[in-house]
Amino acid sequence: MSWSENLQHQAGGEERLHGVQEAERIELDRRRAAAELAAAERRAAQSALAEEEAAARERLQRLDDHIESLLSRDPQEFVIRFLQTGGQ
Amino acid sequence: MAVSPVCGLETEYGLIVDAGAGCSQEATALALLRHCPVAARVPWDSGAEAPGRDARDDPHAMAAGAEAAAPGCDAGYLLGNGARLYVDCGHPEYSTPECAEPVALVRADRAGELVLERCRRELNRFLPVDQVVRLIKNNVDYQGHSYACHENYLVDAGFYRGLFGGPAPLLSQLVPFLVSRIVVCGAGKVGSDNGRTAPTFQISQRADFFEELLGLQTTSRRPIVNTRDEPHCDPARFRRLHVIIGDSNMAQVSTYLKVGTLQLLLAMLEEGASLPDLTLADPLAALPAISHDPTCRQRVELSDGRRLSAVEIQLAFADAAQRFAGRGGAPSWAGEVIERWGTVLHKLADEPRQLASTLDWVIKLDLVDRWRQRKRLAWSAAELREIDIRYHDIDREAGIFYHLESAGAVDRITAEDAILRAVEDPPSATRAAVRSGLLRGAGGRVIAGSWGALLRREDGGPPRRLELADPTLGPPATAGTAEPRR
Repeated sequence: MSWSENLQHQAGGEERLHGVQEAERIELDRRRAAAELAAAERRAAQSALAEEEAAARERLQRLDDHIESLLSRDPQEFVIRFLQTGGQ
Repeated sequence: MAVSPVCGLETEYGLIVDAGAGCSQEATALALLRHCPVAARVPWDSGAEAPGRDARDDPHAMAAGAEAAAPGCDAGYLLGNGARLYVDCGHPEYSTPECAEPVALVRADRAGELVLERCRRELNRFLPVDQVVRLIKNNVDYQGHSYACHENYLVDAGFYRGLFGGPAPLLSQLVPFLVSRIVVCGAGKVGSDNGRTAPTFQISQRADFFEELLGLQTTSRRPIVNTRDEPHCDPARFRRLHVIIGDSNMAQVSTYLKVGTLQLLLAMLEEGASLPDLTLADPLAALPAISHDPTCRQRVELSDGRRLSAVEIQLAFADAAQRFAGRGGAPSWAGEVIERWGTVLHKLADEPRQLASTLDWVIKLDLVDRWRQRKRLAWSAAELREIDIRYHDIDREAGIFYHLESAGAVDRITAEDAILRAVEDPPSATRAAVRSGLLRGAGGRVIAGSWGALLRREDGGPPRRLELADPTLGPPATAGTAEPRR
């Protein structure tokens, strides 16, 4: 290999090395971005789930509050008075 | 000969008067009837009724049945929508008109609640403000008494004889189905009855009250299979299968599956299809055992030694129904029934609480269990029983089930406007529409009526009896719309 050919070969090697490093950097960036996106999505889902759960709890509480208002003050007396004749 | 599927429900309601010490149940039930605000109605003609006749032609059973049959407190009315409203054994009772498919029956059943609710409101107008009548669509009073929700299915007369007669009665094939179906259509109950060991919560209201396998009686020693043979139609062509092992349902899906699945199995048997052989070793012991286990894991013994859960038994019947429908010839509504049935069964097998917006017993269990934990109550607490009773209160403003339904917390099969129409209008494709049309269109000439006949006043002569012997025959405009089972 001539001197000039050797120089060109070395330059090509450096370019290839640079190219590999760049590709690795891009891949790392991509993975980091993907991980950040997944984490953000997880946080959003957890937050939505928490909001949904809170809303469901609130709905249940409202339902139960209303049911409570329908009950008698003396359940024992209510149940005893609910005496029926036997039917079919 | 296979006949068109026609079915109906008859439901006895419990009642209580708030602050009404001294108000008798019987007198209140009769007062409710007297305050029925439905304009289109005539007195019920009970002259042709014979509830003491036994399908097995057993004279001894017939005599016992005749003794057991309680005198009707009041025969009540035939209503303009083709239904009957009356008082039986001290309970207000509503019998739906004949329906050709399960969605129509869900509407008719719910329309019955509305009719009784209107009676209740009318009567309450005349009572002191603190004495409010409440109507409870349940089956137990927690003091040892039960009252019913009976189902009626029209079948061919020859097929009916095969159900009860011969060395291998077809009805025996249905016993494991009737016993296990409580996991689908039980109404749920806190505690137990009839001397059974007290479970915390059980699947069925009525399971503790069945003490015989076969019998004519309905008010004591209740049988899993009732043999009452009272067709209310042309007995040479049709019979009515009377099923007394069922709870009163609030949830539309429970009612829909209760009736749709049995109608489908009867269609299969009538067409000669065979049901899976799942004969139970001891049906009377299996019924409470299944009912007392809300996890649906309890296995019961079959006569061939296998042990299956109620869900597994139901799945075997559902698979057979699917194969039958796949071969063609099933009613058009069968596919939807099978699909819902399968979905419900798979959820029951997986985790029953997934059905906390679908089936009565799971809706109720979810509610009372939450309440119990929140308030730190024992399962024996009266408050839980009160919730259980008030779940079935048909007052749209005070009933717990209706509160859940109006909040969108339970599934529906049919819309409220269709139910409201069913208060006035009969189902279209059965003789109920003919009965209704004659009653409403006769300008007051119809003076009494029953399932199978109307009495019409004629000018200058005795009343004329108009026979309605064919329950499958709708008015001319809808004739033929009730589907034959082939």
